[in-house]
Amino acid sequence: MKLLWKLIKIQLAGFLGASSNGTSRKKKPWPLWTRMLVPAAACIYLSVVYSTLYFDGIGGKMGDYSMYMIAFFAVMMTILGGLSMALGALYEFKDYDFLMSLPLTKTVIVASKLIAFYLMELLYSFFIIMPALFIFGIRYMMDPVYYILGVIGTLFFPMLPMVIACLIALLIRIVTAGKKHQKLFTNLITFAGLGVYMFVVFRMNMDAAASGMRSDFIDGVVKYIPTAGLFLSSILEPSVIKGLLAIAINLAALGLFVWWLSPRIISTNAKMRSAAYHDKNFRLKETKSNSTLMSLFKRELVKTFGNLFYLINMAMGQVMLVIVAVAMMIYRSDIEILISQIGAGYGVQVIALILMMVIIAAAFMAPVSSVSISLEGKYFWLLKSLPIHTEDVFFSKILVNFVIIAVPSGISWILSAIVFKMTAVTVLEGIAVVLLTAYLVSALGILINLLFPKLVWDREAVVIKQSMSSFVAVLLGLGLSAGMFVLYFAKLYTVEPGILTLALIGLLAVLVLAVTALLMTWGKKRFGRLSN
Amino acid sequence: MLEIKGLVKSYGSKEVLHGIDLEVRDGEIFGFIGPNGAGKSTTLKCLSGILPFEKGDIKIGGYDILTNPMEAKRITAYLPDNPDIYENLTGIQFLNFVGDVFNVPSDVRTQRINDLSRELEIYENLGDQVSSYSHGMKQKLALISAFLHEPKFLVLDEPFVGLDPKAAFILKQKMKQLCERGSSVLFSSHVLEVVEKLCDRVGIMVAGEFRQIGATEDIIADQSLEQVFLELDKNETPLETH
Repeated sequence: MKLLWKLIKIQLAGFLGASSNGTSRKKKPWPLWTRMLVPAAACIYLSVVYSTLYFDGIGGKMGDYSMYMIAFFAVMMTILGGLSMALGALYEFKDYDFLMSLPLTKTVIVASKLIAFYLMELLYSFFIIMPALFIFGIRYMMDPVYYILGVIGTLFFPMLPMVIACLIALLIRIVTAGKKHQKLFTNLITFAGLGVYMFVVFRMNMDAAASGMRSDFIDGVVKYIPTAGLFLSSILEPSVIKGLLAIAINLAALGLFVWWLSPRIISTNAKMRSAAYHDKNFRLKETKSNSTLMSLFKRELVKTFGNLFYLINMAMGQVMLVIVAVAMMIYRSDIEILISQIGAGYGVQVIALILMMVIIAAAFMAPVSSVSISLEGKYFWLLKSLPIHTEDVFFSKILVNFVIIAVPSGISWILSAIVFKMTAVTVLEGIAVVLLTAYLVSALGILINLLFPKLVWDREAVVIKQSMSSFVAVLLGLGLSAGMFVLYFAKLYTVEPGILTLALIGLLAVLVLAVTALLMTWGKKRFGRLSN
Repeated sequence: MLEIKGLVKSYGSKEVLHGIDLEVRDGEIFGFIGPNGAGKSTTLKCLSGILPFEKGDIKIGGYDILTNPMEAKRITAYLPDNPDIYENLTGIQFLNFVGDVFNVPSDVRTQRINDLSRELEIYENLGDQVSSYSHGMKQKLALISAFLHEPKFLVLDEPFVGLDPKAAFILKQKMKQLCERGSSVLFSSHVLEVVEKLCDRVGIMVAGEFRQIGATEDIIADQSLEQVFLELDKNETPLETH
């Protein structure tokens, strides 16, 4: 038992990632519980923000609807997060050879993996549901039974979504074994899952806006995610029977799954190790040589676009920007009516300025470069030992982030320009904003990553989702975007929009120059001192 | 080719290299031995520009690694003890990347990749992703990348680990051929027989300091390198230079 607990702790440490910052080899590692604080804080933040938004936005008699939205969010987080964890840590675990060589039973190995996996899933779902549960309970003055059933039920809540994640991951592993683009295929499925989630949430929000659709949605939750529906019914009614039923279903699903999967985890891992892709007819062809910068850029591009998990976490806002622009094209006639109501000329200029600010805000939500140096990880020796100028490393990473922001933002800006019939000067001003912002966010990301490097890690998710640089980049982006909108709507909305646009371009240009200067001086020195 | 003077390197408050001096001459193979944790890999990483250091000078081909890192690196190839290579690239993509960085012309590059990969028997795996390679295959791929630009100075950290006997033999041949053309090789190894047979000069490092540096035959005298090494490791003697 003691051995199992030790193994669970090791597995949990693996899930939560290495704690060193990559510059100090002798730094004492942080205790395990402190490493849980970062994901827990992120979940609490998301829960408080979403639940407050839902309660304020919907409120009244539809408060319970908000709880269903939070539960659905927790289910999706558990499935998607679980999918990534199951793929890397359950069916293709790196310590397979080591553990199998030790005098440990397969049961102990599998149990340690599954229990650690469950605890991680619980970490996410618990800290998403709990804040919302308490906010709802306080707002609607719920009975103590509500809290008791809520806390107990939440402990069992992630079991069914965890089983679903494990089954999808197993299917992906079986289908992609020995295929050339295994990672890409895996990421595409994850991306599609996220797309489905966003679509469902969008539909739910649309339905919520229309009265009478609420029951359809709740029916959907109860029908497709029965334990989530039962759990919520049990706490809202409150009903102990329903609560017990939800717990029983969760336990049964997990029990059956463990009984069926346990023997297969080891065999799937064994198969994965002997089913690598092999190009049977490889022939060496004459290749075109590239400059160092172009070669680095191509390498960075392959690395970034081959990692949709990275893109999902860092560049989803850009995809949404294009979707919104396309939607504007579809609802063009409605928008034309809106413009006619606002009044041509001045009205369009105001819209253009606000759209530029939206583009800037979306760009700040895509700081892909903010973890790009950290993601070099164990490959960092190559960049340091090869004759590569530091600025080439910086610009290759900046260029990839620039493409990720400038292309979707440019497309949405052009589509918006068509919809709102903007003048050529406004279009050019918008393009300048897109280009300057794309560069600024990309270069700023590198600076942030240099400030908070994390070159020692075992899974990319640790860098992308939990590292200090990604947090700082996202929070800084949120702060700057919010500040920009607050400043405009509170103080500057009366100023002529043409002047404000020019001022915005000027400010962006100054920031671009400042960040570049900092990167070329302090940044280069800092990069020289980095090592793993 | 290589000149190290008073190299001091610390990890936090712990000093691991205590002002070492080392010279590797043109056209020689220099063997670098010592117990685990002696500071061999750290020294190799410092002179390859991977690790920063507190004090001392490192010059490769006359270029200072701190003030002229690009020139120094252009004539150097470094191979770590555990070559972690971009796993999302294929073997050929990785070699082309290294070829681009060292400005190796396309035709020369194609010829060298073809010859070296066939010799090391990984030609047919070049189209596969590096993630599917075994340790030995990764080692071979890294070796091809190291020889791709015909470096003036080759730095290898435990290069024989994971290599099959044929690949180890080819590597030794390549190292000799490279030195015949005037290049130099510096490598660390625990395989003392190989060091003894292959190296013109040897350096024995213990606890961040060289205990002996000199021509292999002078250091060995009438003993074997293994006996010298074990004796030094047991009794930490002051520096002797032959």
